[in-house]
Amino acid sequence: MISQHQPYLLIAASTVMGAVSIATLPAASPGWVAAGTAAGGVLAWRIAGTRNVLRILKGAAFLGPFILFLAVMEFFRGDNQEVVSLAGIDLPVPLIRAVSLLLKTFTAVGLGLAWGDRVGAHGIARSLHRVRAPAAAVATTFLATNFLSTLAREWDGVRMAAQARGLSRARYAFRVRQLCGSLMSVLVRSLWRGDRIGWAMRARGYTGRLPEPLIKRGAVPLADFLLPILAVAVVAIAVCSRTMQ
Amino acid sequence: MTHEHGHQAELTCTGITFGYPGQETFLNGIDFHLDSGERLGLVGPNGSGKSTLLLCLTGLLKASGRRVLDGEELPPGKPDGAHIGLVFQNAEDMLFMPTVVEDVAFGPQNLGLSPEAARAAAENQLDRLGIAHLADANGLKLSGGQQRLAALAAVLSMEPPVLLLDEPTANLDEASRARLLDLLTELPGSLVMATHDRAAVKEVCSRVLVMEEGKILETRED
Repeated sequence: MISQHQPYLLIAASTVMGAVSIATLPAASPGWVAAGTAAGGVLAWRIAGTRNVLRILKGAAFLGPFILFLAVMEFFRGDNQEVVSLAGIDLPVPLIRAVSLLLKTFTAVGLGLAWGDRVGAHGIARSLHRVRAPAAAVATTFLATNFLSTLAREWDGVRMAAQARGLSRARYAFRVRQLCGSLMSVLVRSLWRGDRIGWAMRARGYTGRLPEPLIKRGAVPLADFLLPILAVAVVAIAVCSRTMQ
Repeated sequence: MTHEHGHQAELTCTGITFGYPGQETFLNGIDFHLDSGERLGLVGPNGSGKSTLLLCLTGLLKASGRRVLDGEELPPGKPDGAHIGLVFQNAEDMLFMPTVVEDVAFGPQNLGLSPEAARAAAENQLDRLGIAHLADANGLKLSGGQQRLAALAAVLSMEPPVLLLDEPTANLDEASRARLLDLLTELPGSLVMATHDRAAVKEVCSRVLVMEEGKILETRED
């Protein structure tokens, strides 16, 4: 069931984590929040693995509007304290909260992905169909999600090429520098790849409007509604309880 | 202009000239004629302009000169897979959808077929090429030979009367190569095949154009 309803699971997981932070974290100092969520992010990264970072980003991209919503709520949550000192550096509280929220969401998405297999293009397209998203948005998301798999393969290729030349035995600082270089290389390769895919699409009659994905829409199981409803309910309760204080 | 299934068309190209921005002219006034149902080989060293010529013939690159298909001039820089289909050298670039059947249905859907009709056309094409069992597979996870067949199916599903192939036998093992060449021999339409594989040209094509430095040096009957 989890793999079938993964997008909903991810929405639910990140919503619950966001709601918990809204409802309970005023008591904790932002430093602890940042440290805790950073640790959660590292945990998610270790569980999901480096090669799944793109998958996690895929989930995060899908949750983008939702993350934005929670980030805005964190910004305007209200607090008398404006600046906090973290490791001797003064940082604005809203910034720390926004970063901590993104890390929490990242953690939730990472754990969700580690739990299930991955968010597939079909799963996302089906989910968007179910919420009556416009056909153009469904088709664009469908293709974009699939392109991330292509990017993941490019990343794998670059990473393996570096490891085959002994990168794993290099010093940590050098590995980090190489990682940054590899990201640039993947970016360049992805642009080149995107260009050729664009040609392949145009050669087959694409003129700017993507055709509707060939997916079976099917009936909507009750479980598909339960998770997002639960998630929204938790947020509503958390926000109401904060307002009443 | 429409073409029925299995229709063959003649293609006449005159003065095809192209240069990449900021560089010297790469293709220099190429003229050739492809008879209806003819199979033409395009050979020459790396960098001689074979792939660029194919991209110009499809309209993906906007070249000067004329492309006339069955007496009707095709507008420059406007690719149309229903008239001239191109199988890219790297088949992976053509497999951008999550499943093979969706990749093959992509062209027919762009031609206006409903999702159901496009799926049926795609499944029919996959069956024709003997890869119906790969319909729900991820194109990026197939072997090189399977990817080449899936890419060919994606182009053939639009039923173009002229088919262009860029290095179709590159990186294929013997069995995959033999299977692909058998299929190409059986195809009814007109065909242009750019390749370094002289044996494949001998097997499939009746005439060969030899290119060098963006020009056609000679034409040979095989």
